[in-house]
Amino acid sequence: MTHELTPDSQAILLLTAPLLVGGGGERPAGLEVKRKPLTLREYNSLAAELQQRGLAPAALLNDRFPIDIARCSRLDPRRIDRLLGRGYALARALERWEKRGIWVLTRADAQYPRLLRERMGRNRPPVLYGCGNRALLDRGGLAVVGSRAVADDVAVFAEEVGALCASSGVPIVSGGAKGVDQAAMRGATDAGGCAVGILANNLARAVLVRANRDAIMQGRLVLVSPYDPAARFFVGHAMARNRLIYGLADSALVVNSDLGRGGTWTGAMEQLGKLNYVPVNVRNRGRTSQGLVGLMEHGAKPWPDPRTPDELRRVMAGHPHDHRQRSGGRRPAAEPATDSQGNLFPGRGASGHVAAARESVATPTDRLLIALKGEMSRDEIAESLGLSKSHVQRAYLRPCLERGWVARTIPDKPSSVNQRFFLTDRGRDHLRAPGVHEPADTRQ
Amino acid sequence: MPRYDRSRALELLRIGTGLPDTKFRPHQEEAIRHVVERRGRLLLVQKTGWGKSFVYFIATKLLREIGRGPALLFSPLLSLMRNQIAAAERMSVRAARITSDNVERWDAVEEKIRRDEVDILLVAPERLANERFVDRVESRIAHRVALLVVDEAHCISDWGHDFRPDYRRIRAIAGGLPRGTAVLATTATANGRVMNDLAKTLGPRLKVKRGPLARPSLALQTIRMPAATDRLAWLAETVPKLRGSGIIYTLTVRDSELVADWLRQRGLDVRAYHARSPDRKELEEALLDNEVKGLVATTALGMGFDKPDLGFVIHYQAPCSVVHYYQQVGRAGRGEGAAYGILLNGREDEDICDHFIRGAFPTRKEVSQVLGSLESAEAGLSLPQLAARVNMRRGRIEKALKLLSLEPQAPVAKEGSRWHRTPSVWESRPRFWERVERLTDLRTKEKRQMQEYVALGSGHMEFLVRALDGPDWEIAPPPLDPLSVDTSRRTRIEAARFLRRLDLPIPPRKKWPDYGLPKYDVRGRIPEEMQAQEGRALGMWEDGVWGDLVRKGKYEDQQFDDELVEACKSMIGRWEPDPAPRWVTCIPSRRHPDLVPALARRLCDTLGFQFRDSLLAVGSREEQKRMRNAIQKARNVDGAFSFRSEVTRYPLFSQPVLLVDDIVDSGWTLTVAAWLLRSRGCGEVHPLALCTLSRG
Repeated sequence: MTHELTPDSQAILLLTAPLLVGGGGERPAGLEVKRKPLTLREYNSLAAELQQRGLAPAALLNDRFPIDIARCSRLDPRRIDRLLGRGYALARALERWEKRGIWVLTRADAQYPRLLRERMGRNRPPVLYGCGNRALLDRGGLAVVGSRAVADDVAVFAEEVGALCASSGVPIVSGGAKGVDQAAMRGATDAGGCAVGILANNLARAVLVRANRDAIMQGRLVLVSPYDPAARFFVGHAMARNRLIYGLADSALVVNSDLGRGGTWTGAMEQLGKLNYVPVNVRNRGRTSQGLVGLMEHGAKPWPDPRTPDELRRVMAGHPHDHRQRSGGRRPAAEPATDSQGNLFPGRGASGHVAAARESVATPTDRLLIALKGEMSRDEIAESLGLSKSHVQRAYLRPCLERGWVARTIPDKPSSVNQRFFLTDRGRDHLRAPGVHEPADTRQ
Repeated sequence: MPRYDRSRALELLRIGTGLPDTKFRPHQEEAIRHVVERRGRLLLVQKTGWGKSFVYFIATKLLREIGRGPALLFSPLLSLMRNQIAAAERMSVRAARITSDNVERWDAVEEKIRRDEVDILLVAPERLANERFVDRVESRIAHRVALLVVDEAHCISDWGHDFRPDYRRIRAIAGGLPRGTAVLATTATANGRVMNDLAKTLGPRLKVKRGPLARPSLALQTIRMPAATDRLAWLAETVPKLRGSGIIYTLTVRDSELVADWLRQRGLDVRAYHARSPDRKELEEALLDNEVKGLVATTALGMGFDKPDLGFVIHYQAPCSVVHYYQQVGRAGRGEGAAYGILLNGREDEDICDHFIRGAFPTRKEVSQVLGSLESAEAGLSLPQLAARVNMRRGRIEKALKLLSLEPQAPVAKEGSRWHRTPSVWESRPRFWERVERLTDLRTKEKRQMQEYVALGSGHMEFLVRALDGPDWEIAPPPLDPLSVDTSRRTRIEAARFLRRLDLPIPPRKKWPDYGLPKYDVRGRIPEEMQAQEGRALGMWEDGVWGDLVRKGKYEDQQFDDELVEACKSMIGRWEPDPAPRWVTCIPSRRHPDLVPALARRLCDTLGFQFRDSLLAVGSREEQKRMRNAIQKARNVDGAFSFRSEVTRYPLFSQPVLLVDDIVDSGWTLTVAAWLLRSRGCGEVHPLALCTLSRG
């Protein structure tokens, strides 16, 4: 065996992984409901219960494992027992993965990517399957996303970005899908650079593709998936995969997107909204696209379009991994795009870009506090942030109300049509606290 | 922790054996208990016939009775015998088998597994490579397996005398099992080193139970008889005198047919048994029921074969290792009555063993050819595509792919029908070659040890037990007197005559090779009226009878001996090709332009036929024997001959013809020649050759 799983990892796989035996990638026969792997939420409740007792997941593999743990986390103990009884399926799946050079990392492994641990916390996937150089997962890089069907010039753009990243020593992080993803990754690996491909399905087949092989063998490409290597395509998977792409990068570039629908749009909006792992940029050269304009309106910045390795490094230096922890004021501003020919967004002045750049690094709650001037209705807040009302309610207002940073003008009737919101003293104190990204111009 | 129900276990044993007062043998009960109660891992080293199957059947049953999943059993030989199946049935253990030759039953088995009506599934390790098995059967049971049984567990060890590539998967699976799945590994033959290796693979919590190896009721003897005629004569005179029925082992399929033919001709009721026998089950039953005097078998007659009253096991040729010999001879002497275990040692044994040793692994060059082709392929290659690219025998290509694909980080992988290069770096991994060298060395040493055994005058059982690191204290003297080694001159002469009359059929090819022959512009099926008839050859290139004469004629004298011409004539007499040929032609050669035509003309003189040239060798090409697989050989023949149209004026041209050649290899030359002749209006074409290279 080239890598041995720790008992903790064995337990995590037994509990949460489908352990597909058989190339079909369908739901494994014999995997009826009573043997269904735990969902992330279910696993988290079990893990919390274990942690409270000072136990690691491996404790479940002991001859007399504390079955009441399952009961405490409101899980059927027989289901846990059956899941843990899948030892043969686990061993067989490992054997098959290893044949193709596929490794496994679980949340219990020290090598589990640091960025995902920090950014996603309990929501990080319990298991990552992969092939290739694992060290690349901790190197950050530029996330390049976009749709499968793209015009040639858009693909060329993505490829050029990949090649530029290669010459700057910046890895490309992408989804490995047809279109933009593959163009960017190919651009990077063909130019001798590094790439991280995050797949939503069929990792076991992807490792055999010739275009991937040489780069994997040279340690310049790593393919990762949170889904079983035999899993087939499934739309929900592609969405969750997008989160990992942003999660493993330092900065993101959306090359094209539909407006208001599709995985690229939703994934970018999630980042501009509640997740906010990395700054989101949009392509700023060539033909425009409604989706990109839409993203700009929600806080995405135009890509400064660096042309030399130095320029790219400067752009990337503006977006270190831990941009959240740094003060926004001291962070070097991204180079504003000029209005020279080819600029996608001539309507927006340079100052607009700066404001957008600053906004995008703030957390949702901070952005709300900054935007709140006097008393404002929910609709007005939504409009000023360029977000939907329901999203503002969920991701912005609710946490601020809970923390007492914002208060209602009609506290007795929360859903009143005349309801307005204002900044409390606590909210003002919070804004002044060090480390909060408050642009100077909004403090006046 | 589930409780082990002692009285239920004993009850099952008594039901299973049908003996109401029987008790467990030493180790049996502890083994069952360890597996059921602790879900532990156990290695049982006990000689065949000791009752290992009772351990796993009873353990399976007890696990099922406390609500756990079924057992999965891997064994290289699934000839679970009648008595074992009957025992399982009595205990109402529901066993199902999946083998390559019962695909028609897979649906039923799959359905039973789905309904949870299988308690133990028996599978050959190589099934794990079969995606159909994985999708249809394994996927339905994998998530519930409560007990993994590995039979012939010594095959896991690459320190073993019997390392089998397919067991590398089992090794990886066993090594990756988390706690909680019970493992029962069983073997009869594990020396100290193999046991250490197994302990390493199966983990630190492995428990070992080991019993004695000697078989006191077996009388062992070795007899050196270099010449096949002597051994055939000895068998013909000795076997009728032996009590009961038994097994005669040969090293090759062809020898099993040959010895069986000879003994039947001498009035003995024996049958050949090998991997290609169509009626293996019936043959086994016939032996079990003493309906035949014996089976002349290759090792395909497996380790699971259990007949307590087998009277003798005779080896016509010596196996390549002492452990193999112990396993095979140990099929006799299991019951109360004494039995013979006789080893005859022939001149050819060492060559055959060397051939096995050399052929066991691919060479570095072969591996780099295969990997190179796959690396340059855009989307993988099918086996025929690979055969068209590398000049290796198809069997060698398959062997290389198989061994490589079984490596932990395999450099090749199969997806559908295509082989792909994986992204695993291969060049920097010397461990594969280290293992190849180690196993090759080991096998050479084992061969030498076998020769020591052959030379023994006494102490045969001690020698075997020592070679296997057996724990036995005391070994009883042989229970029977040695057999006479004498044979009569008359029988020896008859055996020699028998060996000279081995006509071998040359089957006609019915399909053009994959991708066809572009120069002749043919592909797909060959119409029946364009095919050759089934031909005949005198013998095999390396049969030691005709092959030597053919070699001498072709490479030393540039002329074939009269004896070969005479032999061809008498073969035609036995053969009676139908419809009878009226004229003779031959395969032309640029390298030896006169050799075969001269042979054909001399044959014509003795037969009273006329000879006509009909084909012309054109262009220069490689010798056919340098082409390693059928596709390469076929391409080498593509466009190699042209038709001499003047022969159509010969009045007998439209009549059946005898087509003469010296050596048949793949059969493509004869196929193309027959097609050329037939498509110009020639009658039926009967190929005749001096010898053939393939074993048929």
